[in-house]
Amino acid sequence: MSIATLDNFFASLKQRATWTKLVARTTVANSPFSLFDVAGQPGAGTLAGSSTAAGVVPVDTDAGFPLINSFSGGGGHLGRVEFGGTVACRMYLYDCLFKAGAYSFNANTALSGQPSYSGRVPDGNYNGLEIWVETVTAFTGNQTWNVTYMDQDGNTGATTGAVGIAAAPTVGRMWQLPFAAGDSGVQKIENVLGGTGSAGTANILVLRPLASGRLSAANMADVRGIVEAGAPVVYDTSALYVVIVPDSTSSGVPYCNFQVASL
Amino acid sequence: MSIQTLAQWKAAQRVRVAYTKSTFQTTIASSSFSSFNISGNFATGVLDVGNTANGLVHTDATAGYPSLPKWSSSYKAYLDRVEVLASSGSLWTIYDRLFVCGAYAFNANTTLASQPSFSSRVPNTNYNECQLWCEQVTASTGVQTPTITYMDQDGNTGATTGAFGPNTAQQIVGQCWQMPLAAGDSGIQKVESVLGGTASAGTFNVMILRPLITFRVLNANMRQDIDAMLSSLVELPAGAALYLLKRPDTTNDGIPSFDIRLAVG
Repeated sequence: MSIATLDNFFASLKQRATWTKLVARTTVANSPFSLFDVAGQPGAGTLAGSSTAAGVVPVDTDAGFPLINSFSGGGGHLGRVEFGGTVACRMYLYDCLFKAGAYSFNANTALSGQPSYSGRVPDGNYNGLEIWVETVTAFTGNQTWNVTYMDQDGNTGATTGAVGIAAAPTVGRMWQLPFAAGDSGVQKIENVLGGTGSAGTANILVLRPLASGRLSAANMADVRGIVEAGAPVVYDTSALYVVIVPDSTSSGVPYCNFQVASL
Repeated sequence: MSIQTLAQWKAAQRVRVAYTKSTFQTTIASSSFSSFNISGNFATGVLDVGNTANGLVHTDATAGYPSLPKWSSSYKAYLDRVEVLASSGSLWTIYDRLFVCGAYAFNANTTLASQPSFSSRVPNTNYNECQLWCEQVTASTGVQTPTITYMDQDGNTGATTGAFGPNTAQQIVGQCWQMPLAAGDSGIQKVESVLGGTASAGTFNVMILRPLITFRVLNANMRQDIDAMLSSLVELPAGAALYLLKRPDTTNDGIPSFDIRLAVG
């Protein structure tokens, strides 16, 4: 049962999950970075993915993701989110639906037997899901990735084209891959093709956006209630994942605390 | 009872808790600080909590915390609104301080026993909400980097934080820092042992905190309201020991004046 009325929200079970990183990562100004492997609460995760052949569907109990206690009915909602940190930055909160890797710079891997993440896509609406690259070990050269995928409607063989960031990606650096013309989402990753780098590894992720925030200066904070947050659906298995885009060359020490409301 | 509907929220009894400090405190910019031993509108606390062997579960009746109005055990209280003023730009978090032990010497190696339970202060027994922090009692020489062994959110014993301290040259009085948890952990039920670190002087407390709300005072003397929809009606158990951590922008910390309103229904 989902929250359908304001009374439902008042009556809902509200659980808070903490995502705090306690060590700064060296970053590149205005570039997205993962802090998945950085110490904090929850404890650090392992950046390198565990499967290149099929990929995995991460869940909250995997190391690095905040635990969400089980609730009945499947769907909860993001009832509140608090962003803060020690540097000016943008922060994006996602549900990490799929993770494949770590692929070497020259990989050419056709995936098979990919696990489905359909149970974590509200209303079966794959529009709005995003394909990202997450750097695991630093690259030499301008690494590009070309990912073949099944689009939001189930059409196979769509490709992103070979896309990099015109620089050698450092550990944790991320970038989003563009869809082919006419596409707006992704159901499945089919093939991962490395590119022009000469060393380094990366994961390919499928992310579902939940919320975003901006810290306009160091030590700023932002609080979104259920109205501002828009109450996106969150599952008790969701792998809550934060991407940070610092204004400068350090991630600082950020936090993103969220409340999951469920009936 | 509990507040289950908009009508019940509107009809709920409101009670007010004032939290004011009246003395400046020397801080480090962008570092977290406790005001527990700073004078204000309620009894001043003592940083050294005086129990290293077992730890303590403080309540609102303990010196250093604002006294909460009493409500019937058949009702529940929720954070309904917070009006915030402070004399400097700063980040604030209100916690329920569930457990504290110390003060430990810089080179302590103490295994705790018979720790008192704070389970009644953890709504829905959700220990994922609980965080592990240290609070510097007397200044360190060098960076204090304790290692804490703890029971995780699911009751597994023997998890460790690893040696960890803040990114400052030393810790000064009142400075606080959060401890990282082991891979796979999201919360904490119990502190099991405390091991000192690389400092050569100084003492510190170890504490378990349950965060309630975080907010920002944008600039000096700014005011901000956190209403019920923003606070999301966080439950406040009876006896809660309201404890504030601030992260000031500069070394001249803000004097806070908070008006905390609870909805009881």
